[in-house]
Amino acid sequence: MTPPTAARLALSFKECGRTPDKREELSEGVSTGMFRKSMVSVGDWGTSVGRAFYWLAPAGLRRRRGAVPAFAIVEQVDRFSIGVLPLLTVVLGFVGMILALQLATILELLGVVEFLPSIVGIAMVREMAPLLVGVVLSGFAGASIASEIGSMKVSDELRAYESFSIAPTRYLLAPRLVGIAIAAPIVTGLGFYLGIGGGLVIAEAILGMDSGQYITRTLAALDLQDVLLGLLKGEVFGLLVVSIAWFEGSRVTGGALGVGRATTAAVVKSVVAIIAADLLLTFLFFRIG
Amino acid sequence: MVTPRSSLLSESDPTPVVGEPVVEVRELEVSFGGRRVLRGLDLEVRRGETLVVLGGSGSGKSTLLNALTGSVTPSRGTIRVLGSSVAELDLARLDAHRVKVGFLFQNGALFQSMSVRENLACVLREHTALTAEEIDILVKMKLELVGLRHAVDLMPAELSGGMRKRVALARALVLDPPLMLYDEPGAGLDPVSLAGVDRIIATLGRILGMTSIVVTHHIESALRLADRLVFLHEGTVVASGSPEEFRTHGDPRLRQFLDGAAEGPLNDRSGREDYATSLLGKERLR
Repeated sequence: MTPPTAARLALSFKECGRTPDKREELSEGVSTGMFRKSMVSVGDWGTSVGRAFYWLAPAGLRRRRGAVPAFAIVEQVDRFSIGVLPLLTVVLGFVGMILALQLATILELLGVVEFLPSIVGIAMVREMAPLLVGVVLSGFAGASIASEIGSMKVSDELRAYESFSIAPTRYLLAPRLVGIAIAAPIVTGLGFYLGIGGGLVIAEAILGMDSGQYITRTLAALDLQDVLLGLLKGEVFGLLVVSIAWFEGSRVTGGALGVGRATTAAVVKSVVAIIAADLLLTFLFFRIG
Repeated sequence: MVTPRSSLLSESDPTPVVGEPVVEVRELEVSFGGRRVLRGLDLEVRRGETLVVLGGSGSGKSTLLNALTGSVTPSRGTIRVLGSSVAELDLARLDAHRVKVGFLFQNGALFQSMSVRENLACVLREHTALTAEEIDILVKMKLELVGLRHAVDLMPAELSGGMRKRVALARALVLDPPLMLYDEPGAGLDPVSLAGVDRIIATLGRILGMTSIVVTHHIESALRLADRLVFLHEGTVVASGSPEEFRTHGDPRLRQFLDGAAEGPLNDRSGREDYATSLLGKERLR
């Protein structure tokens, strides 16, 4: 019979020559090590983002000359806006429909189905659209950036930049950060329309609501603060996705396997960071009122 | 038969002027995760000299090149390159140092998102105050040097392996660095492309007075390029001399390497664990 987990652990400690008294010390050592490693990673991530912002500062404030290439910024704006549009249309449109269908059942039971447009609108603008834009960007842009930068690391391209004293953060990270900073609010704004549009389709087709009335009620429920919060969230999520993907890609080791690992890590860490940032921003706005 | 170096150059090419030391490495030690890759390595390269570094895989050749560019930090010893102590340079000075040291990567490492023209032009834009027109002329001159002026508007993905290596060579030379480091310049090249690259490397020393350190596995290429050769084994220099001296050198490890023998002191297994013990473990054999 397999011994219970605790007993197996005690056995393994005994086999290793460690007394059970030292277990706490060991686990503390492991957690301290992991914490320190995480802090070092966060520090490195912050440093690379800081270096990219250095190149975005006005030339007069910098010791090193040179600008972020404009054509690279345009390329990235196109990549993060037009590139994600088809996927975003499907995801946001469908989620708007699903939300409307789920709410319709409950609201009809309560006899307040006329609240559907305002609930869908507020949910979409304040929460669902920015969150889904962030998730779509992490899967679409984050994964591709991490694999792209990881492949550059593996093929010595990043080292080649350094060997010519050209900052890779200037040519590779800064255009991507500016690109997402421009594209993310646009895409998030489109996400509002797509999500609300999805809800409108269901309200009109299944509940027989008038589309004009639906739009009027949605607009009446929303204020400028809701829209700004949604756009701010989209912006923060986009910047997190790009910077995390860059960071994971730029520290790839171990060839193709490493690139695969970095891609997965970029998506997973981006999604976790997006949700954590969402909670923080929602809490802050909740406190501000 | 190995072509002597003189045959790589035309009669009009001037003879090299070997001058003061450009690279001085003393008791260099570099470790990665507790594994010592370079163990007390000493090396000196003089101005205008072409030094070829030979050695088996894992002998520390590439690590030596990386140490010279300041990409790896030594755990002990000193590295002086072009008058600077590389390990003591701050980031700004390290950047200035790297501009003076050209580096040809094993796989070329071209910037994939840029055309051949841009691969060279971006380096010039970064480090010179030349106009766009002047940059364009210089780019074409450097590409002509490697015989690829016609490829100026191609993307790296459209080039063959040999062409990529030659474009990378043109890019490494674009700032006319006084010191060039070549990491396996012949890797993946056909004999004709290899001879072409060798000729360029040999000519650069004569015409531009460039100092070169070439890491290679190609024995023929090494013997025809070198003014002097060193042989690395387990992170130290075990043999050093001219091509003529290397041909008759008595070190058994160097002999095995030059002869390409499958068995010999380089793969001596006497110090290693017995195969049966490694396979089954001591407990099972008991």
